[in-house]
Amino acid sequence: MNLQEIRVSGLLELYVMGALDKADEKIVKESIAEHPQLAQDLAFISESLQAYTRLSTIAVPPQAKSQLLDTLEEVQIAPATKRTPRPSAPSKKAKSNAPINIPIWPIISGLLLLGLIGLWYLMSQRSNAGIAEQQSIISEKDERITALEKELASKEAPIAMLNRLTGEDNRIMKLRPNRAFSEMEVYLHSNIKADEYFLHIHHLKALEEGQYYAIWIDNGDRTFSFAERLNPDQVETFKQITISDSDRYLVTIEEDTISKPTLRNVIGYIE
Amino acid sequence: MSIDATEVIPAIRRKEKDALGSLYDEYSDIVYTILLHSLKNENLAKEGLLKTFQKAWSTALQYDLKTDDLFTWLMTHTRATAKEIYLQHDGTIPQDTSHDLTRVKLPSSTIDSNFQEALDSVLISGESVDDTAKRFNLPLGTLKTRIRFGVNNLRKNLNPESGSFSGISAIALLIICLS
Repeated sequence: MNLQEIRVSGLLELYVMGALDKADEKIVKESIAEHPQLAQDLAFISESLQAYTRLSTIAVPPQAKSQLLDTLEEVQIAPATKRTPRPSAPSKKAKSNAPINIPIWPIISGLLLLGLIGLWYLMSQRSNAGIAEQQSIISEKDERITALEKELASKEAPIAMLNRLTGEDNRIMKLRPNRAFSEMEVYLHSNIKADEYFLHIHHLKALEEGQYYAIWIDNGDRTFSFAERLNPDQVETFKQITISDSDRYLVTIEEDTISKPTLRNVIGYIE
Repeated sequence: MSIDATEVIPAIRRKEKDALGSLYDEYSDIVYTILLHSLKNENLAKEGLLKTFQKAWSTALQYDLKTDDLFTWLMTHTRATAKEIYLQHDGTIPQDTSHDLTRVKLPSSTIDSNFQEALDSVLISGESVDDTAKRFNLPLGTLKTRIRFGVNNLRKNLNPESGSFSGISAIALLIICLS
């Protein structure tokens, strides 16, 4: 994962909570080694979570500390090389001490063959489902969106197309940046049932010092509303928006000084 | 933060009980709160509290002073201990606590209620991410996003260094607590 991916993955927060499985923990540890600047992110997360947890704590039993200190001499010290162990389910003990000698290789080979056949079948089914889903998404595009694409394509900056992730009740859309803001990433996270939209913008180095831009939003009727000012000192912008019409939703980034967006810097839309 | 890992961990490695006592003084309330929310049984939460700090005592050699963080390290031990106790009792732990385990709902100006709910489940109640996602009927990615946004909310609206809220959030919380 690159720096930005690990920052938006949500893994750092879970790592600080000690809530990751081994595989994800390894990813985070490798990212920390690769990007030392993550140390500051982790420190902020840790401080925030500690402050939050301390808002409402329960007093510990009064004798617990002395009991703890009294038991320490009996505690075995673990060697330095091994990392903090993760708990695992209790192992099942063998029920019988008398082993039965059965030739094992023919059984393993047979099981492997069966597994491969099953895997091939599952992959072929999934591939067919994927093609059907893609066709369904393509056919969903209505005329209005096509018209919008044509209109936006006539503008100077290339128009961002969407890389969509769909879920049952939620969807996260990563709006691809255009040339003018190549290091900017915008995510629209929507909860369809709750009709809530969260606009999450990473602009990192996209803005230079003293260069302010503003995000404008059109929720379908072309009456743009000012959503957020992008500050070069603030690499992350979070905006929660509640809109009534989720039919179409366009995000454009414009110079801070203008009163009406030109649509030259549309960074994406959802349909 | 009033405790420095570069001082306390080497001291624990030297088997200085006072150092573990300092670590306990700093974090025992957090550890106990999480264990009590996880297990909902005061005796087992106390047992878990002792085990968690015994683990800290026994694994101090494994703590990486360059990269590890005391809170994260103890959270890992706390969650592991809670899970061990849970498995030892075959997942059937009788609820036995006189404490009110209801968390204070923070004002929405401090943290969105959905985000707080997600944080409370994973951080405070020690629930796994998978279990929380299933319980809320949310995709895993959405839950992770909520937790991340929740932490961002806290980062912006809490002042961890002073341990207090800033401005309007503090007043709003005070009103909620009083009511």
